[in-house]
Amino acid sequence: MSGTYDVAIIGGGVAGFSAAMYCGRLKLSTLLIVESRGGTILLTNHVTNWPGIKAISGMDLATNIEEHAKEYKPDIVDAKAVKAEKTKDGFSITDADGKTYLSRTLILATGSATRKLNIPGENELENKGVHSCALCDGVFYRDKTIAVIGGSDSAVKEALLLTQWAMKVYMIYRGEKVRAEPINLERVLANEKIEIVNNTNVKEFAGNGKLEKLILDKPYKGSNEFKVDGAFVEIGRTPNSELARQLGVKLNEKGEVMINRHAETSAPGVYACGDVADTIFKQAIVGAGEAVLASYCAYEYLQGKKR
Amino acid sequence: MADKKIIVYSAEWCPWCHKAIDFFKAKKIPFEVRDVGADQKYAAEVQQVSGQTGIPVVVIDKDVIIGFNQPAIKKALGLP
Repeated sequence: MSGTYDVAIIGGGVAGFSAAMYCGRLKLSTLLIVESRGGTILLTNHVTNWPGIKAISGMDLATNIEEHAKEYKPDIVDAKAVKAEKTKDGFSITDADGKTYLSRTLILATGSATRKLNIPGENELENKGVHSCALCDGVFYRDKTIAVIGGSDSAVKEALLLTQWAMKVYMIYRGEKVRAEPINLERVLANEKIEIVNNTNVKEFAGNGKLEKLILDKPYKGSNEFKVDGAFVEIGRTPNSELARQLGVKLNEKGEVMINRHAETSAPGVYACGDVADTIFKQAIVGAGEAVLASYCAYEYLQGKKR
Repeated sequence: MADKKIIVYSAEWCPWCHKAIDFFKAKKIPFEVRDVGADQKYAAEVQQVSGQTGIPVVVIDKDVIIGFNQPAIKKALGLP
């Protein structure tokens, strides 16, 4: 359709397509602007915490949610939204090709991006030994020695995944103890291929055309040089909150969009859900729930209801 | 476009590879899949072709496109 949509949803991950599904159920005219369909869940090999489904790949889960949303026939534009502005009656969103769309409410499901270490060699050796997607690129390290940099639950899961190819996986973590869910921590401690190097930072990726070694800030077995064939950086993610910033929506110190328990932001008619929001537990199931709340509250807002 | 030779270097478990494959399937454009997970020969070949170790890699005649980069693929194919 053309004209003004009831709701525009920005983002095509679990949260974005969940919101599109629910807005469809609520009979809202819905526009979904998607830079990349699937979102962060695509990086997860096995999703085992989606209620009702014991195990499913991230790819299949994302596809299922997208197909479910499409049953309600939202308009979907594959484009990067680069600008968001308040208008008299709602919002305007402009994509990277300069095309502008209008809506009465806005749901931000813009997700997050991989965080970088920002150390020497990281950009030069990207995909030449330095990676951020174990699921995609782990296959190149069959019987090799690799390092996972980070100590979060995601880092632990990456390390576990990589053991199916690698001969040895070092987890290099700046803290004392890795911060994984207990079930994953048990798995990593029981895995003989994984060794944790704690209280250590990586200062540099070094190599001539391909990664040859890490430079550590303290010696490991007598040397600051740590020879590896590959390294996977998993130190968390940064929220994609630029559009929220443009709208003057309140962000927290991490740059995440602050929402209340109704997925409302500080700006009337603007909602947020998924990894861009200031939720403490970033999981697909949480993002989907927030998306449903955002959709329902957008619906109530359009009905003129006040809380 | 019909004359262009298209190769997708991929692996079964790689989500972005599936996205790339789905792209060509949806547009009914013929292509060849080279599975770097199933065949070490292709794992070596993709490194030689692209100078890096990341997948997917899409080769369209002489254009080597790293990652699932839809705009670059469309440009190489002459699609709008």
